[in-house]
Amino acid sequence: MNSSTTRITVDAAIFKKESRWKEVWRRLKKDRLAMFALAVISVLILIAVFADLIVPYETALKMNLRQKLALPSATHWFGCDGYGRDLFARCIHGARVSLTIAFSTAFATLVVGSMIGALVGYVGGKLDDLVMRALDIFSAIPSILFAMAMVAALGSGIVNICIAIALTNIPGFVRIVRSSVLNIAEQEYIEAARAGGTSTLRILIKHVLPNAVGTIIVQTTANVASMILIAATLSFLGLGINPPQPEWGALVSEGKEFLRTAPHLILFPGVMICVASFSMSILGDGLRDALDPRLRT
Amino acid sequence: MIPIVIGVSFLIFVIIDMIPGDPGSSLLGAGARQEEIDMMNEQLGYNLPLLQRYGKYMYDAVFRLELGTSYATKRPVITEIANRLPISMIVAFNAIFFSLVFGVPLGVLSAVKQNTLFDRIPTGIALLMASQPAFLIGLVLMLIFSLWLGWFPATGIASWRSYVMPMIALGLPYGGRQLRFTRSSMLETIRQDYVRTARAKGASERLVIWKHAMKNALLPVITVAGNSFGILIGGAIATETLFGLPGLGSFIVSGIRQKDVPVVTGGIIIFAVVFSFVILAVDLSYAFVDPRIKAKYSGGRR
Repeated sequence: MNSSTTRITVDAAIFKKESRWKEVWRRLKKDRLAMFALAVISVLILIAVFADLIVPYETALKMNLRQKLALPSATHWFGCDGYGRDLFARCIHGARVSLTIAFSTAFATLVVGSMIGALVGYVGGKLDDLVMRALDIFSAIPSILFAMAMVAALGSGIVNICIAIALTNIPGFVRIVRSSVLNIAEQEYIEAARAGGTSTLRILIKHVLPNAVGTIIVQTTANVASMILIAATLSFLGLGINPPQPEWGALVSEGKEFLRTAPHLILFPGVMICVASFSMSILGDGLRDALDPRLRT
Repeated sequence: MIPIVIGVSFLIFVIIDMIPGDPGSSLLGAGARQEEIDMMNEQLGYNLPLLQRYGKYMYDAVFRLELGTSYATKRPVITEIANRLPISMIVAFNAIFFSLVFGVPLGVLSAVKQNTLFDRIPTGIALLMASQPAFLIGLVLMLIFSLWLGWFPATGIASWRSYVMPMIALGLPYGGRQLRFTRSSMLETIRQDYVRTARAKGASERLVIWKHAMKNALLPVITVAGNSFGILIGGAIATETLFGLPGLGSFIVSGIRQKDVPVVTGGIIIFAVVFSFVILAVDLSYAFVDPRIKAKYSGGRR
């Protein structure tokens, strides 16, 4: 694509609202790798949503010591774990837990992070200073450690993990939204809106945030990928969900006891973590290129 | 730097304070009488308000180098940390070294050979590595190199061999990030005018890439290396626990499992202090790498 067509599409995006997203979607569709990643993620989400239809939850918990460490077979596709529980069922229901944590924390980060980021970036001044200094403190604690401390204080369980992980990710998100808003706030159309007497809240919602949406989407996609990893790491360390609930990281942790005799116990949940996080990263890259073709390198 | 350490330690202190239980009953164990527990709590100042306890904790930490006594081992937390921190540092810096050694050159290579196989293959693998949890890579390495081939010990520290697999497990995901940032930074740099000028004046391609472009492209890479040190620490905790290394990370994890409040508080604060020092060191290193910043500061004195 040469520079003159890029300029035309950018102009069109300003005049006609829908066409920008059509344009982005058209560019994303051309990126075959990103489309493949999107398909993989859609399948994983469908698995998580319809887990009960694929295999009932009881199967994931039912112990059968005669099947202990069974190898993959026609009845147990992924084999069985140390208690003789069907690993396929545990991976499928693990998808529900892992993806729920990843997507809900990413969503919470998105909402809270973009509100704070937009507000401090646009208002600026003392509020901005205060919030940024507070965020410096939060970001001086490595995120896993902060999440570990939160889980220790709140106790384990899905909701508490979500709170812990979301809190550790909000500071970074605020920073990114803020810097993008700082650029937007200097634009002439914002000045025009302000001169026209539009209220601050309305300017933020109608004019500032829509223009930061690109950054927000790309960052959220990357966040889902990294939250899959953080959640898996927390569960691997035994600080996540309550057993016997299946979660990918916890499944790997349970499987590592039998590394020598039954390596398939870490193989299947490991591949699930890897595929989910890898496809989210690829999609994030694809979206970044599609949203801003000038950045395409 | 100092306000951040105060802020961090206070935040951690408050969060950890929410863990149920009191030091008296944890230290004396289940058999102790209630009066003894109360006396112990009184002695440790547990009944004081939070702010006073925090002040006392920080006073002890800074002026007496005391971080309390572990509930589980009954030993001072500071000596445990002093024994364990070096191991964590060796693991972390090995991994950084390893990641830079393969991440930066491959990143430059893929930028220079953009859109060829020399670009696609390393960047693809880098993204795959960057989206792995370190413990998963560690488990695969453990399976192949210690259980099947028997080249390296699976757990514990016996010799330098014990550090090899943690270094790779931690360095691969970190290096994948380095590679991607080096590549995008390098791609931006080689389009700059001064690179074109260098080429135009007839400098050899090798000189242009490794001297003119590389020097400028490395700055953002250093920032990223410093900022993602936090991610590295996260991975290091899981790696230490997996490989049974007696580092600070595995110490904190076992502290959390046993609700050992002094261990968790002290460990996390020390980690955060180290982390802030790394960020500070990164900021200072700019002055050495970037002559523009050096000139700005020495200019004033002249």
